[in-house]
Amino acid sequence: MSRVAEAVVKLHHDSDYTCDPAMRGPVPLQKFFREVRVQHFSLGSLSQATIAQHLLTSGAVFRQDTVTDMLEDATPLAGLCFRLGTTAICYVREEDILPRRRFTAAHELGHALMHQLDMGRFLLDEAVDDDGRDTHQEIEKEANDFAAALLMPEIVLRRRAEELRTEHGTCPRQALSYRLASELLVSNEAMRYRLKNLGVGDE
Amino acid sequence: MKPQDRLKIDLIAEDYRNAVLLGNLKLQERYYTLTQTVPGLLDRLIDVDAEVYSDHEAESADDIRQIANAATSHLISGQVMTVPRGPIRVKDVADELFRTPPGQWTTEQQLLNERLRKSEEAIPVELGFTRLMAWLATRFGEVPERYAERFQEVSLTLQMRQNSMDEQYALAARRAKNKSEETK
Repeated sequence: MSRVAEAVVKLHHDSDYTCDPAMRGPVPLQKFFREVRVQHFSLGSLSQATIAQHLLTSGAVFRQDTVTDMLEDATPLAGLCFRLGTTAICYVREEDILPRRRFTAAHELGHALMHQLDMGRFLLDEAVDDDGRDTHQEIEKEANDFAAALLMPEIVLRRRAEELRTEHGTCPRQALSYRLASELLVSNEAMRYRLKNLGVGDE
Repeated sequence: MKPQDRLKIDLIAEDYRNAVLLGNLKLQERYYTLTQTVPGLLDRLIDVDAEVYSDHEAESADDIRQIANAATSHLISGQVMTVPRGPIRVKDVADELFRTPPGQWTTEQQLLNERLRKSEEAIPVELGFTRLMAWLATRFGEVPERYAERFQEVSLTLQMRQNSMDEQYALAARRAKNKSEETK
């Protein structure tokens, strides 16, 4: 089993969650965060500077000198995972649409759960698509794979493909992707990429 | 020790105390040099040091208390942020909730919080939300989910605050796409 698959299984276990394809609707991302004790926030104009301000005003960080270097960086961000010892907080950009925010939150949760020891301090130079195409760093790829596996469970995707085939005698990937993207609250692009990766649906 | 020796030590100790309070290092050094020739003086000077230090500590703590009281009584919306020592206790979280109550805080939740403010029990750090709710229920009876959510949030914030005192942060960030990339 891959590290990503192990992390998803462990998260399901720690959250007392069983993925049931008979149930419809998005996976309970909020529940996962709460069960693994990771906080998450959506902030406007997301940057290291706004995050440092939030950490100080919320009282999560006591002294300003802990995050002084962050206060000086206003580079616009899509998401960030902040870790201090055993505790972590994930941030997403408020201006993004819901499916993108969910993917980013799941991606950052992946960092919080899988990369405690090798996270360091890095800002990815290139924008990362939620279809994972622009990923150059292994750590980012793992976080993307984690988000995809968590938000778009393979078992649900295969079940819906079967249902579509039973209903219409065919399962065009594009139609399946639209259906699943709205059910699971992810972007259509992310869903298409996931279905293609898994070989689910007809070209 | 003869009475006149004791008197001599008392007088030196008094002068030494004044030197410490005035921050006169030269005089303090001179009295410490005397300890080589006056038996019993060294122990006495060490006692003076301990007394002065203890008084200073008490005064500082008292000053901090007075400032905190003044701030919270005159600036109603103000709050004094503290860093809990040792394991986070139920009381630490409930006190924080008392200072910054969430919106639409019901009477039931306020009363529950008052009970929790009296509990010195440490919160087990490894509990996820469901188990935390169950843990609270075994000690304080039924806990509304909304209250438990806020309780967990504050508990995590306090843990991070504590960690921030001696840990270095790590982060993983992804840049936002700019407009030209969005339209590609």
